[in-house]
Amino acid sequence: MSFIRFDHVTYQYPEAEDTVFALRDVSFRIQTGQFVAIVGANSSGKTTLGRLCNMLLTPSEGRVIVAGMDTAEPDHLYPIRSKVGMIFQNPDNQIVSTTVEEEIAFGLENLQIPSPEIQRRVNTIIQEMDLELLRDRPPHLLSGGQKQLLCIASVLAMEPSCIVFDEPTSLLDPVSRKLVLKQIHKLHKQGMTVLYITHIMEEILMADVLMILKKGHIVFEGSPTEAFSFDDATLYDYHLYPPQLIQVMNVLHESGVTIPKGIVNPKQLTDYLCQYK
Amino acid sequence: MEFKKSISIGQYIPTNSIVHKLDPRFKMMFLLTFIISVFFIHTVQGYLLLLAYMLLSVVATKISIQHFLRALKPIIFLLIFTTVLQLFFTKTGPVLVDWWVFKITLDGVYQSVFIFLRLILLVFASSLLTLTSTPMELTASLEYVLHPFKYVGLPVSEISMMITIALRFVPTIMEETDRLMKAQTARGVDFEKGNLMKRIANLIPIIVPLFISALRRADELAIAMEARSFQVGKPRTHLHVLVFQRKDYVFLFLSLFYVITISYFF
Repeated sequence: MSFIRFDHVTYQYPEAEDTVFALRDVSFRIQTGQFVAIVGANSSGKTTLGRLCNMLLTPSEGRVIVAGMDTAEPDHLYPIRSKVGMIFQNPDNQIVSTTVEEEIAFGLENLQIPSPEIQRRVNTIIQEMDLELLRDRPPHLLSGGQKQLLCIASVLAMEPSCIVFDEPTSLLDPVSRKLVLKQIHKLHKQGMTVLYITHIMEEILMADVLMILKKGHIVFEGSPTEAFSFDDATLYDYHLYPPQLIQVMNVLHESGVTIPKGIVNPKQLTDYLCQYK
Repeated sequence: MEFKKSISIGQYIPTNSIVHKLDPRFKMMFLLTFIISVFFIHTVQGYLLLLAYMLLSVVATKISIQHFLRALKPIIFLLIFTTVLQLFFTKTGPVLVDWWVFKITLDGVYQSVFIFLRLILLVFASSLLTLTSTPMELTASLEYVLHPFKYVGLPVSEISMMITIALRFVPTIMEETDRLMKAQTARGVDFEKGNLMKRIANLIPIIVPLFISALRRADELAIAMEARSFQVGKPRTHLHVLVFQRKDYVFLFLSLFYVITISYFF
């Protein structure tokens, strides 16, 4: 069953010129539990697409259906926002409260959930994400990775079925990035639908489906490895470059080594090569 | 990182004392009564009794008196200035000293002692609240205390949210100021040198980007808050619900009784 459905969606920002569209006649479906990566050059419409899923924006034309609810219907605002969480690029600009536990509770307080239930959910999330030692800490004393994990924890407390990540690791150092990616991977394994907007090519390989956006249109929808098999000119046109793993696989392929489909991480490649005769 | 650690949100110092455990709403209501009482008292005995109460409270907080005295630092000039002013410019009452243009009267001595004690009591009382309550407790209490004004259209919850956000962003903005100052220093700006006008002019390349960045942050924060179902004017529940306990009532009654009695009789 599709969790998110875009039917001929067009979006134009109110302040934009008549001929400029952030998204133009976009249609696709995202299945429950799928991990979809979205890439594209700056201003290709990635963020707009993410925001349409959470009702931060509603389409100028066409329909967006989330968990069976039309985003054009104002009554669906809170049900949709509790189903679809959003994580943005800069964790500093999305943390509202003065302590970690208050931050996790923020969304729940907005949904008018009774205090005992908020406390239960906050405690569960703090345990699950190993934040007990940081519970009373003010956000400015957290590292970049801890801040982004806090943002994820705050969204998870609202028990969403889907999370839209809008370049969540682009401001993080490599160690923090790894921490955040591990958490996202874990969530996906637990059945969370993930929409992952990124510029970092290595991260795309985690996805089941890759969508490439160009000037408000979807120009590719398929597996990440398939996308990286395009010729150099097409990759350049789509603002893509193959991650190191793909580059190694291409070199191996040119040297006559047959590489099967479905290899998306160094361990899988190493295991395959160890058995290769 | 060192710069970050030197910034604290609010002044809260946890010592787990009895004052810390009291309901912050009680502390806030008591502070208001205390401030009013300070202006009603007109005898030295009255002030000494209030000072005794205050010193007892300070001891009960288990917080070093240094922290309370530190709060006096920003007003030290005002304290000396007003005390001296009262001493030399009160003309009523028997004259104690009459030398050259200076004339000190008994009323002048009283007035300057009063104003001195008044200011110290006010600062100590406010510090008693801010040093023993977390910013979270303070905003929750403020929301509670201002609650009746909701019915005359005052957006109490929004004011409380604004204060929370302001407190949350103080360290972030300070960090940003530090970063901008370092960037400008790297380009040869010296913030220490030059006359007053020059120094003010040097601050412009800091203030303009700081404002632009703060506005961008506000925009992004508003979207992030909206994404988590925040809406202006919509009622919210709270993680921690403040509940008055028996000890709060006892302390409130005893303290109010003491303070009001002193202000009535002295």
